[in-house]
Parts: sequence; structure tokens; C-alpha cells
Amino acid sequence: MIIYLHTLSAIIGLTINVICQVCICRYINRKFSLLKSVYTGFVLGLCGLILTELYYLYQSPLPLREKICFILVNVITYSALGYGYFHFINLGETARRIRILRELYNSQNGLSLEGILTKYNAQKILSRRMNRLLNNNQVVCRNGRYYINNPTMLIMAKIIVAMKLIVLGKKSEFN
Amino acid sequence: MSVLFYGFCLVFIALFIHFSVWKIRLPHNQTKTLLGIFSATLAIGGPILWKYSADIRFFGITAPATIHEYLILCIFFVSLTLAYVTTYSALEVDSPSLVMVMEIAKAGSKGLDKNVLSQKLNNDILVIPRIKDLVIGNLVYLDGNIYKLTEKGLFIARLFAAYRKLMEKTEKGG
Repeated sequence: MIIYLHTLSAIIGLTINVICQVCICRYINRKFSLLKSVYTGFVLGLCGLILTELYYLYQSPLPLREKICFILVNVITYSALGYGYFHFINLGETARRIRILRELYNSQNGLSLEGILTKYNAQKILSRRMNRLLNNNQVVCRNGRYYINNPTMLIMAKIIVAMKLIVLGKKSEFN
Repeated sequence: MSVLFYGFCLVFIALFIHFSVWKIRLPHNQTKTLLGIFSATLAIGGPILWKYSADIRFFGITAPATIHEYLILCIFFVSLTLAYVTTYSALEVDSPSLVMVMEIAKAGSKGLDKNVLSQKLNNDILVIPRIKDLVIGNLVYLDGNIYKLTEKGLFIARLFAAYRKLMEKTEKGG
């Protein structure tokens, strides 16, 4: 029994994470933003994982070094699964491809290019994203001009550009 | 120790193949190719480790020996693969938010005029390439001049629609 619990502990942690995150979003929505619900779900899932692993640590006859390595594997696995789940939520919220798919799904007979652009276009994308940047204080607007207020997003952007250069050998998809 | 070590070894082998293939030629459908490389690495590497577990020894670490160790190794490898593939999607295309932040940063202390962004980031840059991606990825097809969902596209659209319904999300997002 303990061996199965230990083998699947990262999956158990992810299940706790998802259930808690969905419950928080549905029932405590007023107090928690989506991002906070993701963080809280992740921490609660991690607690579930740690409890399972502590039980394993106590019950298993393996040497301590081996047990610690197995726990490390499961913590890394859980973190990667939690990161994947965060991306899944993020895709549903911000990805343009998913939004276009949803627009096509909601239309009964498909959409022409003009139809898609009426429902979802560059103007709407810019407006929505600029609101997010302004609300999160990443950017400020003074006298009709935008300025960087908090460099967090800028640092992230630079890291992603550096990764693009390493993996794809170019800075932008349009290069 | 063996699961951790050989799990990372398989991930590094997959990354090495991925970088090598990308250096030769950028694949047409990058995500599909990436998933193919990682799946093949696990499908070939796992049985090799299993078959030669008694002979394989690096830095004094022997290959995993039991079925439960291999199960943990598979879950470990798959989770890291998914994490990498989701991160890769952020590299593959330019995120509008990050492009906006970079443009504002480029303007420096003068600031960036509100209208400049909408001139630079138009439908040709932000929307039409994503529609093309959907066609290339076989999620959408053209019927005359009408875009329609394929079975695969329908499945993904339903998945996200169901999840948003579960979360009681009413905003359109995007």
C-alpha cells in the first residue's frame, strides 16, 4: 500500500491542488484572485504530498539517502505538474489561439476571417493586456504616454528573449 | 538516487536531440515534433535501462531495478516534458504583453505614446499568425472562406469551455 501511495504521491498532490483551486475559485471567489487561488492550491497540494512522503519516510525500510532522493523526485514531479496546471489555467485566460478556438466553438457554422476579427482583434488584445499591466502596476500612464513602473515583467521579457535566442536562434517569431 | 539520476539523464538526452534537430532545421509543427522527441526518448530509453539495468552503472549509480521505480521515473519524465512543452509555447510565439513591455522599455524616460502600440501591433501581427498556427496544428480547417474546428480543435475548445464553466468564468479572456 505504502509503495503505491509513494509512487503516486505527486499525482495525489496534483489532485488535491486542482480540487482546492477549483473550490477556492467557485466558493471563495470574492476573497481570492485567480492567481492567489493557484498559489493556495499549489501549497495545499504540496502539503498533501509532504504528508504522504513523511508516512513513506517513516514506514519504508530503505536507507535514508535513498528515501530522500525518492522524495526529491516526487517534489520535482509535483512542482512540474503544478507548473503545467498553472499554464493550463493561463492558456484558458490569456492565449490567443484558445480564444479563437472558443470563438469558433461558440459559432454554429464557423467564422470567416472578418467574422473572427470582429469578435477578437488586435485592438481588443491590446486594450485587455494594457489594462492588466496597468492594474498590476507593471506600467503607468502619464499624459497619454506609457512608462515602466515595475521591472518584473521587463525582466521576464528579457529572460524569454534570451531563451528564444538560445533555442530558436532568433529574438522574435517575425525575425 | 537511480530514479533521480537516470530520469534527468533521459531528459537531458531528449533536450540534446531537440536542440540538435532545431539547429539543423526548425520543424513545421514544433510542439508535435517536441512531443515526438520526448516520447521516443522515454519509449526507447526506458526499455534499454530495464533490459541492461544490471550492466548500466554511471558514477557508481546503478539503473532502476523495480517496476515501481520505473513507474516513478515515467511520471517524473512525463511531468518534466509537459513543463518544458508548455514553457516552449511561450518561446514559439511572441506574447503581446511581453512585446508591449519591451516597446515601452525601449521608449525609456520619454515614455511611449498610446497610439504607437496599436500601429505596431495590428491584426497582421497579433491575430492572423495565430489563426495560421491553428490551421498548421490541424485544429482548424478552411471550408471555402470559413474557418471551422477539426475534431482535435473541437476537443480542445470543449476542454477549455468545460473548465471555464467549472470555474464559473464569464469573462472571455484572451
